[in-house]
Parts: sequence; C-alpha cells; structure tokens
Amino acid sequence: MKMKNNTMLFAVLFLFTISGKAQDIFIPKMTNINPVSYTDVTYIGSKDTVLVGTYSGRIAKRIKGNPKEIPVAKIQDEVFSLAYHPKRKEIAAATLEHGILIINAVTGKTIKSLPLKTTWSIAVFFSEDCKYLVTQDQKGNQYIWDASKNYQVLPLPADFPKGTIIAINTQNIATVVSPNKVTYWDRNNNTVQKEVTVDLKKFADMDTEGNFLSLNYNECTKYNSNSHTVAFKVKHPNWITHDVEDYSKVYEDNYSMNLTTAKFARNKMYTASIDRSIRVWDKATGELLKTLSDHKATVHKLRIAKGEKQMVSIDLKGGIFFWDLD
Amino acid sequence: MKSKIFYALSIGNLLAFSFYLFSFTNKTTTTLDFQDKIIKVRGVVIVDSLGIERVIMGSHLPEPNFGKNGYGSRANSRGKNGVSGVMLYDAEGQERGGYVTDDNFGNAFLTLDSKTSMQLLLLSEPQGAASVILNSADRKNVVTLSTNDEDAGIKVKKNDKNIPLYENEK
Repeated sequence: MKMKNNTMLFAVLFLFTISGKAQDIFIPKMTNINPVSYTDVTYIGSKDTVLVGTYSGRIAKRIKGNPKEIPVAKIQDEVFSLAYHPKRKEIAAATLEHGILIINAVTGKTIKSLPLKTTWSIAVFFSEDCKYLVTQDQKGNQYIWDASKNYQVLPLPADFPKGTIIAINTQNIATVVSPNKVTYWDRNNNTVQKEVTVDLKKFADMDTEGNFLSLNYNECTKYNSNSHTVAFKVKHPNWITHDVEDYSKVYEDNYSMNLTTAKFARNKMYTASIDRSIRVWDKATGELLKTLSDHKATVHKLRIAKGEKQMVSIDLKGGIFFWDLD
Repeated sequence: MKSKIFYALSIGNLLAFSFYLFSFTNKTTTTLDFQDKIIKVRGVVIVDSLGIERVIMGSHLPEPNFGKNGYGSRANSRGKNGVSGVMLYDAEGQERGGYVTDDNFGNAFLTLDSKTSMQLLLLSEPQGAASVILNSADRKNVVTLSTNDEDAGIKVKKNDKNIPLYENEK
C-alpha cells in the first residue's frame, strides 16, 4: 500500500513538473514589446539621479556612475511617461491600460489609479509647485488633478484652450500649445492672459524668452514668438556609425535622419535623433558645436535638470547618459 | 502512532526534496520533439537575446509601438481594422514590415518600413486589383505601379509633382 502511495505521489509530482514547464512558454497576449527600451526619464533630485520607465512596466532608479538599475516598482502595464513629486515621494506613471498610476516611490506600491476618458497618455507632469498633476490623452482630452487633495480631478471650463498643456507655473498660469497658437491661461480667474501666434509643426520645447523649438522630420526650427520669425533651422549633418569590429573606427554618411526631440538649456540647444546621436548647437546662431555619439540606439528623450546644470538622455536599448552642461 | 508520524515526515521530506530538485530544473535542458506534431496557436513570438520581440506571427497582430507622437507610445494606427500575418521588428523593437491580411477590406499586404514611414507597399485587393508603391520618407517622391480589370498604370511623383507615364496608351 505504501509503495502504491509513493508511486502515485511521484507521478503527481512528475506531472506537476511537466505541466509547470509547459505553461512557462505561454504569454497572455502579443504586445511587440521591447523590454530593454527606456520610454521616459525624469529627475528625482537636482542632478545625478533619475527614474526610468519601460514598456514592460519596470520603473527603476538610475544613478550617475552606477551601471545597474535600482528597481522601484513593477506594474503589469506599459509605462509611457513618468513624473515625480519630491515632497510626497510619489511617482505618476502614464500607462497604456490603467490611465495614470500613482505609485509610492519608497515601497513601489500603487496608491491610486486615475482613469482617462479615452486611450492613454504619453506625457504626464507635475506643475512647477507640484500642486497639480497634468496630462492629456491621445484624443486630446485634458486632465488636471489636485495632488494635494488626493488627486481630485479638477473640471476645466468649456472655453479652456484646445491643445497640449505643457506647463503650469507657480502663478497658476497654464501654457497650452497648438500648432499655430500658444495660449497662457490664467487658472485663478479662468481667462486668457496672453495668446501668441506661432508656427509649430511638432512642439519640442520653449524657453523663457519666447523661443520655441519645433520638429519637422529631420529639421529643427527655432522660432521666436516675439518677432514671429524663424531664427534658424538645423539638421544633423551626417550619420555617424562605428565599425562593428573596431569601435574606434568611425564612419560618416551624408544622411540627415529623423529627429526625435529637442531641448533648450542655457545658451545652447540640443537635438536627438534616430541616428543615435545628440548634437549641441549655439542657441543664438544655430552653429553646430558638438556631436555626442555615445548612444548605441535611437536617442528619443532628453531631460534637463532643474538649474540646467545637467542633461540626461535615454535610448531604445536601455542606454542612459548623464551630461554635465557647461 | 510513531509509524504514522514517520510516514508523514517521509512524505513531507519527499515533497520538500522534489520541490528542491524542481528548483534546479533548467528550461533549456528539456528537448521537446514536435517533429510529427501540428501546432495550432494564436501567435508565435520570436525574441532576440535581449528579449526584444523581432518577429511575431499571429492573429491579430499588436499595434506598432511608434506613432505620430514618436517613440514611447502606441500608434493606434490600425484601429479596429485588425491585421493578421507575420510582422518584423528591428533591433530596437520598431515595426519594420509585414506580410499580412486585414479583416476589414480583405486586402493582402507586403510592406517594408523605414524607421519613420512605410517605404514599400505591395497590395493585392480582394476584387482582383494590385499595386506596388515606393515612397520616399517625405512622400514627395513616389512610384506607383497598379493594375485592375479596367486599367494598368505607372505613376511617378517627383519633387511633389505628378508625372504621369503611359497614360491613355492604346
């Protein structure tokens, strides 16, 4: 009898082992995910430390000089954008299927889920004073939540300008960008404070002097909204590749490839491209000053640290670089 | 009583040892022989050494992860018009071409994409028309070869200007 029981037990364990191994090869759905790619990066300090997100739902800390990720949270969704609230130590993560998730940055636990009316968001941020959390979905619906009131959604007036909200400053002025107009909306009394006519193909960045950066395929335009003139247009002049066998060997082809993002910082501007490089330009003249070709994949996001002393760049193969700005 | 405790301990020991052994099992050591089997599945995903999905054969295929707003989002380009077939992805995980059929019109496509747009399209429509379209990235230079029961044509768009060729040929 004992022999029989033992045999049965072995049989059950064997089947359990086999079934466990067989189940392992199945996935719940097809996603075409690149799990190593960083989808967004945001500073959590004044410099040197950032949070990164991935399509595979990984949120991690990266510190300058440390080649390894420090895991913060793992969610069962794709993460497209991140914002960090330094006082509350909370992360806002824009996801594909769960709207905006509020995550405790210390424990990695999801505290709250903020639903969107339709689709998803690809850019979420806190206002300058961190009082509000702001985003818009892919159908253009705009959202502002009050972070100090447990992320209570704040209704927007019917005449709130259409477009992408890109900032809310400490005076509670919201900057809303559309291809032909930038509106400064005073949220204290719900009125238009200022409207500026612009000509932006794809908004990339703005500075405090009324300059805008706009992208059009491989061309970046610096547009001055005060004079309503194009100051200059720049393109990456070449595609720099490294020899597969000998990385120190560099080749240059006269291709000007698609730009992914552009940023102002101090007296310079920075453009990133699918050519895996970042170019540094003189903000006043548009002169190409430097080429940064350390990335080994498409550079698709740049973030400038507060105080503009550092820039961080991420690529589609999990590459991250911190650049101290002169 | 003692023998019962001994028996229970033996079983417990056996279970613990089995789980211990199971923890050492290596997925790669098992060779599954499916030579004479037919596999019926909704999808097959080929990944590279980094885990990046490089080929998906499936129904329906997922949306591209590169849209008009750039990298780091979903395109939502196919909407409710699902496509099934084989899709290729580059080393960065970006969709670069596919051999698919769509559910809505019933077209069959073969496409090759650059990192910014679709450069080559071979299209066969259900009623018996076919096209080959070659695009530049900005769509200012386009070559179109097309046939249907009423007509056959070659069209060239050069520097954004249409240059019709062989039109009204008898």
